[in-house]
Amino acid sequence: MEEKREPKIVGFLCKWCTSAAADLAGTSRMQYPPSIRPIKVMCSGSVDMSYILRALLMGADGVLVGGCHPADCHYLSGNYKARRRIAILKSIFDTLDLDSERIELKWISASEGKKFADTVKEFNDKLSEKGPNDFTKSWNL
Amino acid sequence: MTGIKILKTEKGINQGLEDLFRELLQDKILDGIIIPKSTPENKFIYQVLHKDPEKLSGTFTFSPVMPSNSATLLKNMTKLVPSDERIGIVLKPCEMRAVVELVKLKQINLENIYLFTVDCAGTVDIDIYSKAETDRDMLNKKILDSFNSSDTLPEVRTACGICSHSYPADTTDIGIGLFGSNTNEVYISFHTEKGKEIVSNMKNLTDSEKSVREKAIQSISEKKDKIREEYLNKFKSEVSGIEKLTSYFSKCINCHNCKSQCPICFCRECFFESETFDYESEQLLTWADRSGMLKMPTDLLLFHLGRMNHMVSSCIGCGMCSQACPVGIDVGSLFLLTGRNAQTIFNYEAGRSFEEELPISTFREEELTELGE
Ligand code: SF4
Ligand code: SF4
Ligand code: SF4
Ligand code: FES
Repeated sequence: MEEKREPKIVGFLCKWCTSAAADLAGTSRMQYPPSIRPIKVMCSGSVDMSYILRALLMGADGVLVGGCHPADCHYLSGNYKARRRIAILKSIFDTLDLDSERIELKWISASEGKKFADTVKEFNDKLSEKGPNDFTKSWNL
Repeated sequence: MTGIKILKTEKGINQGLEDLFRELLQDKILDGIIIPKSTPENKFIYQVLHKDPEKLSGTFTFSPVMPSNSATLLKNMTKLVPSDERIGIVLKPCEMRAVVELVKLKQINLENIYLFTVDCAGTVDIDIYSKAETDRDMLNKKILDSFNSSDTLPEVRTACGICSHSYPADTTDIGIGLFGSNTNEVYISFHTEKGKEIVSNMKNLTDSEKSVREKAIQSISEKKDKIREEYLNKFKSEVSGIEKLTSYFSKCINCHNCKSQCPICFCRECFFESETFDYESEQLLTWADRSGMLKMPTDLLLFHLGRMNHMVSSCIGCGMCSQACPVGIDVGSLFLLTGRNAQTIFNYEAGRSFEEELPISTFREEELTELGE
């Protein structure tokens, strides 16, 4: 039987919440797939959508943006703005029959280590089911 | 705050309107007017800022070509300091819609600016117009004649063929219209206080009924709406999926002309032209190692999709990007298609109103709740 392919996930994680949750998950020894490459950002609102595009175009199987729950953003509205931008990006993907499910936004607070571990696990499972991202099929990007 | 009048002229539409603008300058109602005008050799048409009423000649209020989106001109003129003289500007409806977006993006200050929007039967590609040589006058006439025929001229740009907003909307101060008019007659409408003031100072206008004009506009926009839907549905199937999308852009030479001519892409320094994208050999070699080869220049699709993501919620579908593309890629249809769907999420339509908030600069706490949870 073919060995199950480990997906690559790029995570843009807000340093005030999701990034801390990832640390918590680690120190509490919660199990989650090593497929995520976390990148700490100042706020989910500081993630330009071209970072997500770059990751996907370069062959990442999925991108997870982790931010503070509504009303909890340290810069007041970064998370709400990120949500709108991601909605636009997903809509572009849907219009062009690209796979918008490879882009995930989650609100995960610093204390939610378990939610972080579960999110990565679920996303990982979904992505391994999907197989490689379509962008990897073409070198002509 | 709207009203409509009629200008009757025996000299031809463009000439009649030129006389009207001349009087506005002579009577000091306006200090200047920006209006499309033929170059001396009659080879091309540009926007020209006129101050001297005597120099007003060879103008084309209903110009058949649009070298660039005039909203960009207004942005450059007023972004830092508003005009201290009263300037009128003649705009196509898509230029007016770009003005609305740029005002909301705080790139245009409308103080002392008077917006005249014309009906538009479409414009031809700059290439076609400049190469038309002997046919140029015929082309001008054909466009004028097509206002009251039921079909759009086949020569017009793709964006124009599917444009369903081809008449002055209530965002403009003054409207100049031919749809539904009789021979040698032009509708002059006002839509704002500023517009009312200007129109009340115009001589020789006669009163008119709104109903004929309204019916003509309605039937045109309904018809074009249908054409647009059909076109976009077909177009979507031509660009959807990664293979079709990359093949759509396969001849792109990465010149960024589409961005330079886009009125909405106003950034002085475009992110995609920043040093982030100047790679040294080490970086390129690392990438090439991963799959054995690397297309150069890199980041072609990243530029198009990234630009799309930045500005498509304000794309007004003017098609300047397609006109500027040296290799003939119809960038505009792609942005129109994706823009329309993205704008729908926020119940927004780019260029429709000064009041509707820009999707990217605002948010609602209770929305899009399927994301994040
Ligand atoms: S993307 Fe193209 S069609 Fe849209 S506003 Fe810019 S130039 Fe016009
Ligand atoms: S692509 Fe983005 S950064 Fe570049 S000019 Fe357009 S909006 Fe600005
Ligand atoms: S103008 Fe045409 S060739 Fe130039 S970057 Fe845009 S799509 Fe590519
Ligand atoms: S600070 Fe965490 S999302 Fe803004």
